[in-house]
Amino acid sequence: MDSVEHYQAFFKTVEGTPLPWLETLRAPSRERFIAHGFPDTREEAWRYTPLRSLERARFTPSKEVHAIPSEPLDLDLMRDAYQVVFVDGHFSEAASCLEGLPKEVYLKPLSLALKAPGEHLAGLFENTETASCHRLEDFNRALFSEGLCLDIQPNYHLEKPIVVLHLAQQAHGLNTLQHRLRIAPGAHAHLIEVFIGHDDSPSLTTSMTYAEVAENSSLRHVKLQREGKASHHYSGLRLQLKRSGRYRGHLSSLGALWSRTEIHAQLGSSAECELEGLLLASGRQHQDVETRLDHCGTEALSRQTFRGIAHERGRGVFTGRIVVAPGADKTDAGMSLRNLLLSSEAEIDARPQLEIHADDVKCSHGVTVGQLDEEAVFTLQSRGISEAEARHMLTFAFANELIERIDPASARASIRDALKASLPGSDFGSEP
Amino acid sequence: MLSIQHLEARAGEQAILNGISLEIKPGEVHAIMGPNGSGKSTLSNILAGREGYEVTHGSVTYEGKDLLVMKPEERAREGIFLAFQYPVEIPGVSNIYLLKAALNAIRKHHGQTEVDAMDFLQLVKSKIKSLNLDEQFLYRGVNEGFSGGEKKRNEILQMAILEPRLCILDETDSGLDIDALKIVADGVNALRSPTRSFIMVTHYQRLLSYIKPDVVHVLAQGRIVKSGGPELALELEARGYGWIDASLNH
Repeated sequence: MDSVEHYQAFFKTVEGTPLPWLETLRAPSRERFIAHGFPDTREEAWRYTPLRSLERARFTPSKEVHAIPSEPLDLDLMRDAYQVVFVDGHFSEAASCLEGLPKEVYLKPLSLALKAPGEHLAGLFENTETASCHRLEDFNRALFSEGLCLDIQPNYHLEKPIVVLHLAQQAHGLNTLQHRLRIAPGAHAHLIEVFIGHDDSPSLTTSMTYAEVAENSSLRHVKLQREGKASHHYSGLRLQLKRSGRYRGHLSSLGALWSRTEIHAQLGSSAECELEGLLLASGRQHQDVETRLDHCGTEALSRQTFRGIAHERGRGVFTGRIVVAPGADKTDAGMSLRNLLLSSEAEIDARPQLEIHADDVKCSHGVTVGQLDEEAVFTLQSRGISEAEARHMLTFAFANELIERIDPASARASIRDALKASLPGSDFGSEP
Repeated sequence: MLSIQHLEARAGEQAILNGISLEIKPGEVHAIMGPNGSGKSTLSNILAGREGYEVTHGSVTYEGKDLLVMKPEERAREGIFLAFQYPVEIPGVSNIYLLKAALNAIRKHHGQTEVDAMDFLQLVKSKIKSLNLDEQFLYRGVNEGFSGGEKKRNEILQMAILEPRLCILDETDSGLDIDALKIVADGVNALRSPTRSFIMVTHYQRLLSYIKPDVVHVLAQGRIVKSGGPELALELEARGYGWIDASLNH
């Protein structure tokens, strides 16, 4: 049985929902996936990211009975936040906490929302592009049955972050989620997505987040991917920034054996989009981050700052595409990709791509791939620090410049710890 | 404390040191002067253990141990400190972090426990004040965006915290205005003690007006061509290095 046949069987389990709009959304994706299967490296967007290992494995949607975390989720970043926990792709009511949610905020797991689908729900699934999906997105769309639905009323500022935790614990489990966010005009939300898993349980998690950030509203977003070492991870953000909408996001992609993370944004006039991110590929990890920013309106601003670290036989791929539409004058777009190679077998491919169809624009990009500064290594050694520690410190410092900018502090601490644990060399002591 | 015997070294094919011998006793301050390209910085770098030089002859003994076989970090832990001519910027590693990591590495080497966080902060704050640096400076990346004078003062701060036994100052006076020079000199003078020695590498006499050396050596073409008291520095200042070169070529 090939992989398409294997997954086709599961499509039926999510079919037959009585909601025509949902079926309209799924059908084209399902058909495309059945006809063509997973993307392959002959396609430009997947050139450096083979899906062989993902295709060879046979993942099976996990059963809901396991929707209790196998260990307590004592993560710092869960404090002072609304908590939505998905275990093996299923909402875990026991582990979640939505207490004290204001009436201006509609927040429900999709499985519960589907039981009483009102106008909120249908509204959240409106305006979804169906033609331009690639087939991994199709795969997600054909199968998702869970996720987060968030709708915030106009001018409401939800200051407390919403933490969405995805825990993968079943071996060979398939977890498929789709999160839908709508931030109404003048409103504000803060979303923190975390993906964690067991190192010894290979699994596949695909998770798409669709966010509509309306006029003058803002969304802050932190995403930490530290799935188990044997797992596959695909996640994407599809962001619509309306006039003067603001988005500020940090992505740390540290875990999984194979990972692809996408951020696609459409910027309306005077919108602001600030993306920062880190990728770390060690062992035989493959980390792919792809961004595409479409400057559709005038006077929009975008900033992208990414850092990649690869060591051992790790492989990093970064593709950053900026498209400035005709008439999107006074666009101001900047992209900086800095990469660090720590071993001769590590590899990072960084591809900035600019496509500019307007005249009056400011677009800049800078890419570097380098090694640690040996002068700095010697300076640290000359102060009594061992060479291994010096390298660890400098590698951490390379990433820490971005981590220091993460808000809130709890997420910052959590990502810092996750990074330290993943870097080569021993821990070199506590923060002063 | 330090004994250099007939030291010869090269960088690539280029011979830079051509037989240097030098004895430094505890508490002594030695100035090494000389024109550009005479080998002053090479000597400092070899003592600190920087890569890129090949010692082809001679020996360096520090406190009875063969210095040249030790790694840079071992030398530092044993009490050797090089204040760099061009301190590098290390973005992302804060000053305070470096100071603490370095101090603890040295303490650990001597079988001591890690420094208490409060004691450490107090120590650093008192030192930083005497060097006329802002406290905020501690939380910035090492030398990141610092002025030339701030970088040099930062080297002295590190020296004051780590309390080395042998301090090597490589052209610490270069790029300093007179006020900064005084602050740096005061910092160094505060560290002088009967058990701590200094090697001050400098091009100009000016620094030696503030930090009085016991011995002045003149280095030219990779050799010590003249040694004397502080008056030698004044003579060099008055006559330039030309007469040294002229006497060598005869």
